[in-house]
Amino acid sequence: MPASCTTPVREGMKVQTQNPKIAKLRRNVMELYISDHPLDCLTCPANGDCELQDMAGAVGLREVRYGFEGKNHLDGATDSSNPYFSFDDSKCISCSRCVRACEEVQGTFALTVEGRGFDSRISTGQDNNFLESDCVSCGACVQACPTATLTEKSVIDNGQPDHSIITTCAYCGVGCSFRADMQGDKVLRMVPDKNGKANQGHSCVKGRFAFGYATHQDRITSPMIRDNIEQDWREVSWEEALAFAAKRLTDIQEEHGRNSIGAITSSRCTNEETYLVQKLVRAVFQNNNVDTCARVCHSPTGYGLKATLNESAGTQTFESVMKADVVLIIGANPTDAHPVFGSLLKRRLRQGAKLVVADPRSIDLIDSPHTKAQHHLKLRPGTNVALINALAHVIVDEGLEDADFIHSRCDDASFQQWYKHIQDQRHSPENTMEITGVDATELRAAARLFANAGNGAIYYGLGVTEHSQGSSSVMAIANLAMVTGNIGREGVGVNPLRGQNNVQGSCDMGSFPHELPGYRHVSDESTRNLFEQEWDVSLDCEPGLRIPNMFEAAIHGDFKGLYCQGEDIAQSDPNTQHVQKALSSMKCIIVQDIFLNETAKYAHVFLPGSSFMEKNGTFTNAERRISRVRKLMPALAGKEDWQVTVALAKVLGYEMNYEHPSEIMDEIARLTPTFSGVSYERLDQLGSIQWPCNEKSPLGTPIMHTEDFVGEKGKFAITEYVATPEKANKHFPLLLTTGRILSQYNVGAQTRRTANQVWHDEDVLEIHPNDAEDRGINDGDWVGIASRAGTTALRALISQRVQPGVVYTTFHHPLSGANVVTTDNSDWATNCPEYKVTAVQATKVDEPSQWQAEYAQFSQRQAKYLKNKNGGEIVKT
Amino acid sequence: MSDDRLKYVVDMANQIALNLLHGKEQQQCVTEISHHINRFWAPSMRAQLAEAANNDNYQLEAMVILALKQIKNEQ
Repeated sequence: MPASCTTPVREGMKVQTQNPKIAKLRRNVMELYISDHPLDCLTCPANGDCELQDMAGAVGLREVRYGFEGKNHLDGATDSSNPYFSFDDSKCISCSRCVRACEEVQGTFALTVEGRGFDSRISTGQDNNFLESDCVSCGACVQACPTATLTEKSVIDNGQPDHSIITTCAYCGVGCSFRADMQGDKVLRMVPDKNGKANQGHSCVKGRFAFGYATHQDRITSPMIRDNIEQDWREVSWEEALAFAAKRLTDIQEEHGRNSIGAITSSRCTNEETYLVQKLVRAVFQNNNVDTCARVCHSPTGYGLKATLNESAGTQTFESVMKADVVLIIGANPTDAHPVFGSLLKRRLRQGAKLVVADPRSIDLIDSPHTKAQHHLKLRPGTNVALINALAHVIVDEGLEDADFIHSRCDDASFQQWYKHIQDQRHSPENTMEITGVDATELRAAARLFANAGNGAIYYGLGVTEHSQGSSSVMAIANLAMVTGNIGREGVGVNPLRGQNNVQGSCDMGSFPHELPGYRHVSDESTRNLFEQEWDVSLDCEPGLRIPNMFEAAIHGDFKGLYCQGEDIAQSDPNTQHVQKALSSMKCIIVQDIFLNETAKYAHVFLPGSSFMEKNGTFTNAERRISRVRKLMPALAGKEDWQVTVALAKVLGYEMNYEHPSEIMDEIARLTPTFSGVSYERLDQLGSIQWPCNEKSPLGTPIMHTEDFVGEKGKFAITEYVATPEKANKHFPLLLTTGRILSQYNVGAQTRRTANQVWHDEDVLEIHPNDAEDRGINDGDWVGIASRAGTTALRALISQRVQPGVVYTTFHHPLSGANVVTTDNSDWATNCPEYKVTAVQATKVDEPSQWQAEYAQFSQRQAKYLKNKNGGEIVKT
Repeated sequence: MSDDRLKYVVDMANQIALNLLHGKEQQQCVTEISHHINRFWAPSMRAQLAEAANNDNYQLEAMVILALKQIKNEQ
């Protein structure tokens, strides 16, 4: 009798799934399973949620004829090494689902079946436990396990959930849909939602397990104020805190002028919250000094894609990659930073799609189990534009362009100008080799592979945008997609992998100082009139200050007050000492956050924020997919973030009347053509919606630019390579580039307060063996890293991932001071910082840098000021 | 007005010019620079740039000076 899971369907086949013979066989198989399974169902953590238990009932198993004596696996050991789940070998039925999940869904191949016959057991290989194995803790095996073998520790400790709510992950830009399994107001576990269109039932270690930060003891749940930053905090009522904040902001504007204050919105907050903060700035502060953390990550995407494709957004769905024939990844590390998309991509690569990676560092995708890049273009940091131009040059030079697409879809004048420019021999791989360090033959081969692909898709990340030519790189990528006709259908496109959960949304919502929601310039009178009528105010028609401009103005005494919601600029922005100087120069910093983050140490007002579990709203992911965030528990501080902004506006004399975030979305839809069809009702009906969603596309727009580029032709942009001013020399001979790691997220405020610390409890400096040897540096040594901006010290990790002359680190821990070293250099068009190129020297040291010592003292003082709130007495309501 | 402040906007403007001046006629280049500065810079920064243009201590790219003239003419 063939097993359905291994028998291909063929024409004319008659399939019977139920008859007495099959029922008997199933019962017999179940009997064998149960003969070697603990009979502890009533005390088993999976009781009530066990497929084995359910099937034993379904097949009517009443007795086990073989008895329970003799050889069995009941004394199998439990591996509890993973902080989030355990593996109880005694309950394993060797069904291999976990192995298949690890291979087919996650693509890590960390699990295998060891032994044969009766001795077959699930293994993490090489006698490792889960923690020491290649397992990335995505949870796919736990989800697939039909017994209690692989079970979340939270379920073992607390029992089964009593209800579930679908919501959206608050980590990276993939925007995974999750089923929050609850016991009352407590989140027991997060299980990836199989109906989630972004993640299709998959997850990563952060979204799946690292949610405990939301109820961490470090949460601050009462408003606090102080006159200056070297004072104890004073816990006060919401009314007092808001009145204090409002008076300070009003006084500053009276003394220093209307433009002396501003705000920063957060890509970790919802669309509705972000919208309200920019509304507060424009309608109440009466200026356009609003910016968002996208400034320091994907602002070049907004600029570059608008200039070429006429819309500031990626063109595809994630699912689209399953139709790609060649995937070009530039400056992105999906398996670490966008893990669920990374798994999907690996699935496509295992099906045969080809991969080209352009990255100064050897990322996992280049050579991992069953996936290998055809070409790794290991360029020097800061030379993306030269490399992408060279790819385009080969395509034009060898006549590989898609003439039909160019003729029918692109602006001819801009193409002709670009064509003439890119044909010049200075862009040839042979001539750019000296700049990029990439072998010309390899680059030509990669260009041909991409150009000749049926479907060529480009994915890029912060390794493209965070450069002095970030915007040029984005435009060069758009040029490459257009010249090869890889826009406007499935399997192709220009795909920015957004760092944070709501980077796309925060940009859509008008967080930039020059744009109202929907990317419409503040100088556009008709747009301004629309908002003026809705908001009943007159609006400033001039752009406001960007974040770095705010810092400059603060240092020079012109910018005095900042409302910063859910963002930690003191840790995340470059040249930390410059940022600290700017923050120290202000008279009023209002921080709204769930923790006393690094920026809050410079604050005068702390307004407790609400985590994604405590509020309703929406996030928009990197696919332009708007998904609901649903409230799982009451806000710990008593107010959701949007309510705080409404309350602040009210104290400042402006009424915002909303009863629920759905009403904010209704307002956004009224004012923003690309959102006009979006409502909570429709989101609940459809699950999620990719904008534009309007009369023309009532169900949203999965693939952009299928017929035109938002009513226009695609525009080629001239992107000349201009070397960064950040040069290596004899004093700073190495180039530092920074990035992210799987287990931690951004500044680490969330993940550092979870068990993810077990994988990465400090940032380290990756250094090539040759560079380490030259400096007498051994693995684990403390290394001082000095740049033109500052000095810090990290432990060394000697690694061949980086090329000689290049060092790499992450910025997840504040004491690491990675951004003490990064400089003020920024993208020419958007001021996005050049995190990816800093000239440094590395030397063996035996103590922290001066900055680190001073920072440690400052942090200790700030911790004391927090502890001393209310005179050191704990007053909790 | 401190020197640092003016140097900051001068460096930014020169960087814009350096990235926009390739493969185009001069007038197109000047128009793109002025458009960029008008579109993305706060008025206070534009005023600082204009101040720097009148000060010999700052080395503004020729294209930026032309762009500033164009901005002034358009006002």
